[in-house]
Amino acid sequence: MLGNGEWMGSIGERKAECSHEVVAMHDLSNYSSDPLSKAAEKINGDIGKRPLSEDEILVLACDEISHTYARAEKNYKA
Amino acid sequence: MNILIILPHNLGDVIMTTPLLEGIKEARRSSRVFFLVEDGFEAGLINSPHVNEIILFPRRTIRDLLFFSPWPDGAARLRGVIEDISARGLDLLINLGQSRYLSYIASLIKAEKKVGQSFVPEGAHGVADAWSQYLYAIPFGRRLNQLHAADVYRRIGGARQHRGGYTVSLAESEKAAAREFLTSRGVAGGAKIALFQPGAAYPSKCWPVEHFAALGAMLLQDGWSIVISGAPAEADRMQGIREGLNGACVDTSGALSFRESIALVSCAGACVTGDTAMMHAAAAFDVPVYALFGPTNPVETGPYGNGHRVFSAACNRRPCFCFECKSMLCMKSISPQTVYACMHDGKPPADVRCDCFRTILRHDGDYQLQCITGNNPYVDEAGALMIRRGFNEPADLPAVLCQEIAAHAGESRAVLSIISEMKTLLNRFLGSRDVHAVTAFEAKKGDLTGFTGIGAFWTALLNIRLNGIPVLDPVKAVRESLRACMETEDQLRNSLKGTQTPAAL
Repeated sequence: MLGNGEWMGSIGERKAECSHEVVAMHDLSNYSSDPLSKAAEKINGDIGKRPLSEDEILVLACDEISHTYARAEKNYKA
Repeated sequence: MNILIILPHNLGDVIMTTPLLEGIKEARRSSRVFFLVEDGFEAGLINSPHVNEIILFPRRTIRDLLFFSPWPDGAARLRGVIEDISARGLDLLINLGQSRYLSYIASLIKAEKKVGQSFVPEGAHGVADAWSQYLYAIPFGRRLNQLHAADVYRRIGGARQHRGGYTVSLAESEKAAAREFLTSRGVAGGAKIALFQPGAAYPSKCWPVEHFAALGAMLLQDGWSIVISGAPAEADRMQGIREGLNGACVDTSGALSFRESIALVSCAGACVTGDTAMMHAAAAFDVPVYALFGPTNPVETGPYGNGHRVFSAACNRRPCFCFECKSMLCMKSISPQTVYACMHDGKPPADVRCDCFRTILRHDGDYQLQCITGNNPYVDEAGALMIRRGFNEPADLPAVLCQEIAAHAGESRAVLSIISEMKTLLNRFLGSRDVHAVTAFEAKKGDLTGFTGIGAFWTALLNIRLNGIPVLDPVKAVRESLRACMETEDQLRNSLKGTQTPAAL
């Protein structure tokens, strides 16, 4: 959702950050030495500042999956 | 056309998609339908004539890799799953799941068109289509929804027509194995079987064990055979019923998989259950269901089909969706005598202390709860019809509801007025690039937070749309916000057609 008006900022700079070359640089190797939660925190901090790469979205998906739990992981057969 | 449906769990929810699956196949016979479901939750889909391929999602394996291996191993596994799915050349992806991780996965899977929630790389969880937005808005106006989840799913997938009811397909060998199992437990072929499902996903949905036992005792007198189904985790409840019946029942806990239990219920003459996956499975085979509802909403997740019975106690907080409840008054006040009377006589006793409903599938394919006793406390009919009109559904507003309609119309017009002002502010920004117009837009949006009736639903719908817009490119974001306001405004106007202004009343 739209923010408080400060977002107008420097559109030109943001567009430079949006280039595909820059996005492609954010691959898994940028984050693999961090714990998963830390990597996700870094990526979340960039949301709204630049487009996320597919690898970054993958990390966010992993972080969410790591928080899913065992509900309904039961079968009827013992 | 290659279509992927995403709904990894739970067992009952997956069965609720089967009218959609049938509708898709009916509309596009040559389409190939893939279903992404979590490993262990596919029981309702096996052998389906409407699914070409069940793709098992190894969530638990990935989660374990993320925890117990270097986490990039789990990421690599997830990437492999996503690439494997994308390789099918998808034309349409329908994400019915509402979990955040599914939004990311939907974003990463390659498909020509996506429906449902999907993360936008520019930074927002977008919900692109109107009926998915409706699904997400329901919690903000529960009484304004009169559609079953299965019927909402059908609309999300664009499947308007179907045979009626769920489709769960069993192989002859599975049916034979179920009959063999019953015989081995002393239930003769041709016996009248009442299947009890005493467990549920969470405690507040469970009918008391002593009620099950009391009902079982009455049914035994009438010559029914009692079969109790459930997971090993529910063994205590099953044991309680068994003891209450002095062992005169078949307890299947731990002996059968859910798929095998589905085959078992297909042999039954009745199924007595809370709001469970077994309830949906029984409905799929047209086994008469006696569904006991407490915290959840039988309008949204009742036994989909004709002639099932739903019982619901008169707690003024229903549907509260609480996982646990200290009093459990709602479930306790559905008496075994009431359920028995409906099974035996086809109608509740005169001194009934809970609400009783009959389910029907209307000629237009939609499920509906009909009251046998009392009123339907789950639906504000006037508001629900107005909202459906907003979604371009034919819905006549009955004159008998004129007061309720007038109240909703008044609130809807107030929302409309605020949205019009929001639009003006966005247009002002687009004309002048004056950032103060956007600040004023945000302030004006705050005026929408005070609504508690139909206005809360429309506000939620607008917010779902606005929240799905990334702000990376601010001008584009404003244009899309304007479009969201206009879309909501159009829906509001449609919903108000034919209603009188307050001055005219």
